[in-house]
Amino acid sequence: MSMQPSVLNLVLAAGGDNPFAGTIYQGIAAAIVFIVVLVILKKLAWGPILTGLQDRENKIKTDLEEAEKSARDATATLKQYEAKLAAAQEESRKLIEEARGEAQRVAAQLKDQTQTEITQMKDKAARDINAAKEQAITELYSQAAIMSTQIAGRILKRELNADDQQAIVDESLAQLKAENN
Amino acid sequence: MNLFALTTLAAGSPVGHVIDKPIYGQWGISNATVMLILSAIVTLLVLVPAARKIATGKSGTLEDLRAKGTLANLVEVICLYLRDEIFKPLLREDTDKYIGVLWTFFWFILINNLLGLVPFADVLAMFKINSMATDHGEVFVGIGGTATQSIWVTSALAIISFIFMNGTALKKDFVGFFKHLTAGAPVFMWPIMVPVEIIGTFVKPFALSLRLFANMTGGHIIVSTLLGFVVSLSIGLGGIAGHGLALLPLLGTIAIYMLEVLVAFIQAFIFTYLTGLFLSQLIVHDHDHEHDHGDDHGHVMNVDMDHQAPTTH
Repeated sequence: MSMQPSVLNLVLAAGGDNPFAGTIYQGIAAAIVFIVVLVILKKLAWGPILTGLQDRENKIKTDLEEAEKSARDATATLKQYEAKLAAAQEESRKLIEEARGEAQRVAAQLKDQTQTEITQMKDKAARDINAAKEQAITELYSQAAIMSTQIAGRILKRELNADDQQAIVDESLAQLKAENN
Repeated sequence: MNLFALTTLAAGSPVGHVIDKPIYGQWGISNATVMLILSAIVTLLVLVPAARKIATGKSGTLEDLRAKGTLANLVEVICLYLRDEIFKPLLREDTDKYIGVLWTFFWFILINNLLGLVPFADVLAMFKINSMATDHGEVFVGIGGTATQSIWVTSALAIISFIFMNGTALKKDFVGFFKHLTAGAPVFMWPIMVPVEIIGTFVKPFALSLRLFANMTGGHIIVSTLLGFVVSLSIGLGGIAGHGLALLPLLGTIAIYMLEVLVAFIQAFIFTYLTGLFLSQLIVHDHDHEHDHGDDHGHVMNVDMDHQAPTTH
């Protein structure tokens, strides 16, 4: 015989107890109890637990995805704003540049205009002065001639008529002018 | 007095203390069957209320997704560990389909193992209410012991595991199940491979039942033997010497008892883990095999090319 029965016999002889004690009834009982526990647990425990775990996993998953999407959106928005800011800076720089150029141009124009006006005024003033001067000289000559003829008439004691007087004056004037020139 | 003689006398049979006993002399109901029913009740009382607190709430806040209370968290952490860390890598997307059965195996066996460590029978014996005098002599009527110590109980569990594994595999892929019996070997190897695989199919549940039975029985026999020494030393030898010396096996018993609690968890885990592992070998094998073959071909081609390389130059 094999070794196992002899060992078994030894054990049985030692205490009369069989470690394999039992019958098929114990097996059937175990199977029934296990199946009942399995069915009840499937309905009352595993379903709710599994749903709970899955719900949590889904929540974490969607939250993570949302967070990732938000981060991506935020980065994109930031880039967009940065680009806009850069464009705005460029724009303002251009505007300032343009304004400065315009101001310089206007200033130069004003300066030129003023210069021209001043020159014109100067010229006009000079012309006016010359005209006045000539007029004054002419008047002075004529007065002087009149006075001279009057003086001369008194000296000569004779009255000159108007035509004579005029002729003398004109003659004197012509003479004066010739002398002056 | 001879110490050795006293020890052997008082120890009696440690096996007798551990093994299953019929109640009222009838094997139709025994220690094991009573403990099975008690374990079933305890299992349900632990898991069903916990499940209610793990389930998603209805308040519409984040609190809905949190397990509430110590028991719920304890159950959840174990269930989650088994599902995510142990069986997800094995069963992949099918995990949630089969995890219910695997969880049941774990919790049912664990609670059976742990209840087996509660000395019901000894407490009943203290009050002398576990036996009754009948016409056929003294018969055992109490409860106690470990249901998972009975080879009949562990065999039943292993047969359920066997049906679960192979039934699932057959249902999932009928042809694939039989293809698996060739283990992917070339045709001339089939006369060896097919019988080996068929034997393996039946050896797996046999090993499951024997492993659980042997671990539960062995550990309990050690505890029972050490306690026998305590009894024989303190009662048999008596006095200061007897009681003092009895402390040594008593401390040993406490140490082994703690180890037994660990073994209760380990054996429940091993049974469940191997069921899941064998199941995964049956249902998640196709893809892996193809992948392996692909790699092999790749290597062969590389080698050939290396050999050819010098000749072409």
